[in-house]
Amino acid sequence: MAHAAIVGELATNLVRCLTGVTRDDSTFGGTRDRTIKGLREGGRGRVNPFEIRDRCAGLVEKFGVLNRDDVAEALQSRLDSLPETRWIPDILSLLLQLSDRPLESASLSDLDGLKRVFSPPTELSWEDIVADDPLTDQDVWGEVERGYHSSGDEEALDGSDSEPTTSTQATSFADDDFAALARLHIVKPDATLLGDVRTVRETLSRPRDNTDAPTMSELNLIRETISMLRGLPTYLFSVGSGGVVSISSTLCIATASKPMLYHVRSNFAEIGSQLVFLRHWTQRKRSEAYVQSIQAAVQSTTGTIDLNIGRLEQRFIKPSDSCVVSLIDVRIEVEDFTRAAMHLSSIIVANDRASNGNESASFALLDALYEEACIADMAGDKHLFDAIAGALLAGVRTYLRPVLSWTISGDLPKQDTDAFFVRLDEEDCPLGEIWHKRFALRLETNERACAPEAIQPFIQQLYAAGKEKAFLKLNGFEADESAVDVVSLIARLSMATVTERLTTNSLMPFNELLRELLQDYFADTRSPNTTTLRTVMLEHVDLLRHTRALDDVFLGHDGMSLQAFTGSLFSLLQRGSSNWHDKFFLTRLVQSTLGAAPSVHGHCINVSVLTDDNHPARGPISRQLARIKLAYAVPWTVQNVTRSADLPTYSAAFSLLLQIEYAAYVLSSQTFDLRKLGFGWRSAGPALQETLSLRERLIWFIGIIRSHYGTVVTTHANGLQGALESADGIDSMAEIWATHDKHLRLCLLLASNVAPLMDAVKHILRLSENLEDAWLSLDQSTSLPAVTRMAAEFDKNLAFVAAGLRSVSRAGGETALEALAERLQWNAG
Amino acid sequence: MPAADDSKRKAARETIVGLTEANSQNNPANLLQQDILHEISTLLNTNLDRQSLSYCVSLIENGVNPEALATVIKELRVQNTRYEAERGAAATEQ
Repeated sequence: MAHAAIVGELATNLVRCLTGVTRDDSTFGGTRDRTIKGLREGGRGRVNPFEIRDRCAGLVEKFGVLNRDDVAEALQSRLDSLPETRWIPDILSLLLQLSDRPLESASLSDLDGLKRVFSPPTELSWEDIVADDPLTDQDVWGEVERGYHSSGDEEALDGSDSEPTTSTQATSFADDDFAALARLHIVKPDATLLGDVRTVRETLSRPRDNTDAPTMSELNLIRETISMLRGLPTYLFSVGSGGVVSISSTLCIATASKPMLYHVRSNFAEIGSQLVFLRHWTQRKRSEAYVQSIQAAVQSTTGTIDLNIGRLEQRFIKPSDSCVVSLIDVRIEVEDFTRAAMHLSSIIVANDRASNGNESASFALLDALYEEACIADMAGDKHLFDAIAGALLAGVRTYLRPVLSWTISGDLPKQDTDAFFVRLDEEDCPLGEIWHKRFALRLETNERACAPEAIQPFIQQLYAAGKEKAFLKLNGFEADESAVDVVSLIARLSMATVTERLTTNSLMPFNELLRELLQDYFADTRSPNTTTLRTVMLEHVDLLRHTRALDDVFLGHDGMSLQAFTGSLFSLLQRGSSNWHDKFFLTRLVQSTLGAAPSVHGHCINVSVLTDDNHPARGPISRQLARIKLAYAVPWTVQNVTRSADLPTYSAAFSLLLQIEYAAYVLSSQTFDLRKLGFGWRSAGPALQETLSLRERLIWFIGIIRSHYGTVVTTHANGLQGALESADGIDSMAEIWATHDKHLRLCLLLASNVAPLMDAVKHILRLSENLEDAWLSLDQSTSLPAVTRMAAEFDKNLAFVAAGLRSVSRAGGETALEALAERLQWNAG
Repeated sequence: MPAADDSKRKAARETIVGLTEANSQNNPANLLQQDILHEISTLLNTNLDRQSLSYCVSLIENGVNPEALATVIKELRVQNTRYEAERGAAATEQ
């Protein structure tokens, strides 16, 4: 058809050229048709090129024969100049057929008249140009600024050589006419495109009764549904006061039944309701920072949904390929990309209902997200898991910010909120009790720490870490906060890290993975150069030296010092000096004797003498010794380990030690020298014998008690030193000290449950003093009954002590007491 | 309207040639061929002007039989002669 059109057009032009008849002429059409018919009926026969060549050669020869050599040469030269194409023979055939007596009329002068003009077949005329673009613009004949034209004018062109042209000026604009230039690029929207939409809206906005169900196209229904999902008001859906979207009007579509349409619209309404709820919830003002982070994460999710709705809408506005308009397809697609958001919405709704709108600190939302993330991970629902875990981690990151500050610097949040698991318990507590009383865990009603479920396994660790930093700060060891890269540390708790971990270990459950992440997170909060509390206690505070000092001062670890002290004291007491209870004298005496040990700071020793109903100022010396109260001022850091500044166990042990030493001192004194007895001793033979026997037994008993005392003290001191050296914190150190104190009390019979045994022991010790008095009155008739009575008391108390020790050792498992009981029973038996 | 600007205005506007053979005829090689053919046509006294010759060449290149084309051209000339005679007679009678 195209070929026929070309031939027809060419024939038409040929007719016009040959006849001069225009299209307007009535004969033109017939002439043209005949011409075209004649050309078609001529067939497609080809000429014989050899024949044409021979005819041309014959013609040239004929010219030569007729003395027209010039024409012959001209013709031959032109024939030779023709290119060798397939159509040349045909064209030459045509020319030969149309030739009219060339031999007679051919002339070279005719060739001179020919012009080699390069012109298009159809030339433009001014009439055509003016008809197309009338020259009505005033600036048509103005000057042209060459700079506007093209980039080719920028280089090496001297402006003075160029002349302004009117043709270019007609298409150029003035410098300041940017508005006209801008108008060239404005794409005017086609207002008719919205006609269909306006018609539908007018139909829907018209009030009608329930029986009137207008029919609308599926595309319009999808448009309204998408608007509803975006949260925009529509005619087909209404939003109630609680954000519940419902179907507001009935309608029909040609491609679905009413029940099915109603069901699909109900699905969309439900999705719309949850989206409305999420959008409102993200705008709600909350005081907890971690909830605000969760709101931001949820808002990001709803933003992604909006983008997906936009892409869905774009598909119908500007379809690139053939697009199927199906409400069911739209529903499937919407359900797919809103599934995660619907689940988040249900979690938040359930949390709001459980808290009854109470927005006080409770980590129910975080715990719910944690639980649902674990479930989604176990179910393998990656899309849902990403959405829920993303919101969870956003909340956890924000929650951990004050925790991070607590573990790095020991500082509590500026405002004491219920969201932080540590609270300031006693702000003004003594320094010796700072570790145990200043801070406390904030507990909920079920005795659980006030923290999210995911953080519960680390509560004690975090609590101790923060207390440690606060304790070190009081000791002058400030934490180097710049050593910890807080920003990268917080950023590590992200979905990217979780995804990377799950990629390398896909079988690890999410709760284990999160625990591992948090473990690494908390481990990295400790900078490598941080001075640990253990180092401070052992090296800077020198805890072990102070414990050795306590042994030297209270427990008589150094026998020489102890003997020096007791010798001076007992001699004063026996001389009846009235100054013996002077505290300054006693303090000086203790400092010069017991305080001389290398581990003791003598200036820390203080001695006082009690005077109350329990400690009368007069009486036996053994009772007076109980009035002496020795105190050693340990640093407040050590007091946090010993939990006491008074050290009652050590004080009681010192008092017992004094009584034991005094009893030994009395029995070994020169009082019992036989050579000092007068002639009356002969008559006191039985009494003397009893006295000496009792003395021997008392010496034996005191020796065992002293041996027991020394063994217990030495064993416990060594054990305490080793245990404290291996302790990692004050809590463990305090626990070690408490155990040591308890064992020491029990082994030295200072505990309340063995008080009867201690009373019996002290009674035996007091017999030494009584025996001394009896020795001095040995020649009297009352001495024998007195000594006999003392011996009976000794035996009774000894048996009681032995039996008591055996039962206590069996109940408590103390080997030292069992050994003491056995020794007492061996020699007594 | 200045004649000197006529060629410039034509050069400044984009001209769309509707006929396919016009584009091919503007090829320099074809122009040389056309010139040679026109000179041969002149020497053979075919009485074809350049434009008509170009149409004839295009028709032949589109498969038209040269003999049929020659016949058509001759008929058109006869018809044209008759038409001019009738028009001349009509002008004389008026």
